[in-house]
Amino acid sequence: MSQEALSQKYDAIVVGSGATGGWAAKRLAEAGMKVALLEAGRNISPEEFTEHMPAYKLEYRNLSPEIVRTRPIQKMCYACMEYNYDWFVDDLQNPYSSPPDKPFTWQRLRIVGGRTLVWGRQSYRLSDLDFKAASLDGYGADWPFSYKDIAPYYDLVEGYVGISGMTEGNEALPDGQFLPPMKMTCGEVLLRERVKAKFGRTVTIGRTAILTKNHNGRAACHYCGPCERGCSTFSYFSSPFTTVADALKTGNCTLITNAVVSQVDMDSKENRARGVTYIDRLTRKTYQASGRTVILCAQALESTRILFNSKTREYPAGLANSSGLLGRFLMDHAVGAGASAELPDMEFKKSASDPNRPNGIYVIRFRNLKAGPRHPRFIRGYGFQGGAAPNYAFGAEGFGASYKNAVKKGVYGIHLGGFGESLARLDNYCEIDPALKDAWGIPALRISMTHGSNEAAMMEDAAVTAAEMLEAAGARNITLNAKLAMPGMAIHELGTARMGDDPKKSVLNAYNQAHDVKNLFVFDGACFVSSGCQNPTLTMMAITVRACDHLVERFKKNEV
Amino acid sequence: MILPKTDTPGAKEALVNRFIDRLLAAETRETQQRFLASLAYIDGECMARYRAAFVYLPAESQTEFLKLIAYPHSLVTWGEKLAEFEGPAHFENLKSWISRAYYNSEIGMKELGWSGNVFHDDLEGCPHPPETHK
Ligand SMILES: Cc1cc2nc3c(=O)[nH]c(=O)nc-3n(C[C@H](O)[C@H](O)[C@H](O)COP(=O)(O)OP(=O)(O)OC[C@H]3O[C@@H](n4cnc5c(N)ncnc54)[C@H](O)[C@@H]3O)c2cc1C
Ligand code: SF4
Repeated sequence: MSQEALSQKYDAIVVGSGATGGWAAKRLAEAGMKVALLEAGRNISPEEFTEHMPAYKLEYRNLSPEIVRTRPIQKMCYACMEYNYDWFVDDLQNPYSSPPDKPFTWQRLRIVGGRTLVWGRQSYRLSDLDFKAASLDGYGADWPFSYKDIAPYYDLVEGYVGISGMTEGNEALPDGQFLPPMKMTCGEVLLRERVKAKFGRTVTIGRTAILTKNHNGRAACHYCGPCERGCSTFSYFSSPFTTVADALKTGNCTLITNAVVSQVDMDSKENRARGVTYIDRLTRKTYQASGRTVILCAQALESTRILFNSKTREYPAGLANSSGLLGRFLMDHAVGAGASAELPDMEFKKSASDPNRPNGIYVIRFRNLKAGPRHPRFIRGYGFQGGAAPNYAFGAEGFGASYKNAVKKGVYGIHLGGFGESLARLDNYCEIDPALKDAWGIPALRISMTHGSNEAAMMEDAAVTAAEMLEAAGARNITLNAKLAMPGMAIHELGTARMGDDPKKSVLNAYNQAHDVKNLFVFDGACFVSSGCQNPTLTMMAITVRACDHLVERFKKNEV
Repeated sequence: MILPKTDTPGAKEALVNRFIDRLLAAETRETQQRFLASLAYIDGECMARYRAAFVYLPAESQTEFLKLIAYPHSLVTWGEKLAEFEGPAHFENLKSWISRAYYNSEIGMKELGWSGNVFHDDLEGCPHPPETHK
């Protein structure tokens, strides 16, 4: 195959343009570094957004899951639909494997912006209950930094992104720099009051990366609802129209699309990364991009795959893997359990023209807090996402005019779904499947993960506590779900190149720099040491900015 | 029958049958067969009871038959366990196709109050003082 080297040598090669890659490109380019932003997917244009398009305009009215024949795995994701499935990867071109008894679902996008185009936007800080969890209960490892080290970066990221939410003064979920909160429905206020009174637990409005007032040149949300189909006013945070656009504006960043990075190229004598090799997605031609530093932001599993595929004589088990821990400690939040019910006493009228709040409520973690008590069956904790609102009663019984009226009249539903911590375990891992390659000939991953008894016990408890909280709000027809969903369903893959101070026990140092190769970095969720129970992207972005600032400082002193 | 014309148009007016044909054509064989099996079940049961397929029955018989299968059946009567009855499952299968197709049609969305208005200044929120939510 023909190979071509790009003429320019960049200061930094950033792989991936999603949540973390966008921030890396912005921060480094704004600091004056020459950045190449390599993205495996195509570009995205606001003209593709369909958030205001009614379903009947689509050929299959957004109903047929079978039209997504090329996306049998992606379509398990609630956000992958007839409107936008083209943004999700083609599963036939992008295979991975998992052992038959360990199903894993891997949901991802290959397009400028990555998963920020469709993400759920829930944004929560971690606290020292998470960063120092090992010191508290003896399981696993502490992070190599603490809350006070990362707090300024949370402030910075929140200030730019715009997170709406309510301050609660709760130690387990630190408050941030919030835009005004979205309003709660009557059912949610009722739940908040009753749950606080009866259990002392906090139900708050979801903290979400959606603007509730004009902010940073972007307009406030107009509550049309289906954000995962795009937002023509850019009111929710997605990287192409924020961080990536800022990076390009500096003139210091070159975005190269359709660049499928296959490996990091090494200068073995110097033990330094020289750059990366990538394959043009469309022409299949191979290119080399050279850089003084290489930064992987392709999301945890993809970045790990690139490192495995970059093995050399010096690093036969994968680049930067002298610890043997690359690919290990894969985590994904435990989800699936919760409860749903009806609030029979609510008076309401519902119309499809009502505003549509693109956000729910959140129950802050209340198990195994610093002050105790310890739960007898599991360590760590979980939070809930949920909501209470009128719904159409499509499931009403009978037929004819009475069914039609019942649908329209609706029911006032209420539900809570748990998000639990996933423990970092050595035996949850990914590796290269020797028999499997993607459409570009790049060896693919075998992912081997199960949730353990801790996650199962935690989810059972989540079902019970969800039900008791709904009951306290006066709910009827409570249905419990105590089952764990398959790993991957939370779409929060973390931990496969974890940070730490000890090169024998971690892949990256506290600033996301590979212990083994000084000018190689991984900024995405691969660096997580433990998962907490909070949605991780806000933390990934804060870590990225912190790592960038450290990198820039060292780069200027010629130390990387 | 399932979603009739009332003071608003029903499934027939929304041409739901044509849309279901299109949707089914794109579905897997299993799904197609399940749909056809439900139709065949209904015609079979109507033949047995009324000596005619569902569409040829007078409206009263159609309603009478649908009422028989539209609600869940208790299979225990006077302490005696009865044979399985497949009717409700077939009814639910067909109803869900018709219902989804109808409520995602332009007519069906308008039935639910859709007006194409997508710009809202704010959310309503809860207007009630503490502990008085209704
Ligand atoms: C439906 C959905 C809902 C979610 N909801 C939430 C939520 O509410 N809160 C939350 O915190 N998180 C949520 N997430 C997760 C969130 O989207 C991710 O945590 C976040 O986007 C990860 O950022 P990243 O930069 O690591 O990767 P991504 O944003 O996934 O971006 C990775 C980029 O790298 C590119 N890439 C991959 N491989 C290569 C390669 N070999 N060469 C070049 N480029 C490559 C991809 O094309 C992609 O653009 C959700 C995700 C989904 C799908
Ligand atoms: S609900 Fe708000 S953020 Fe979501 S697409 Fe509509 S305007 Fe944009």
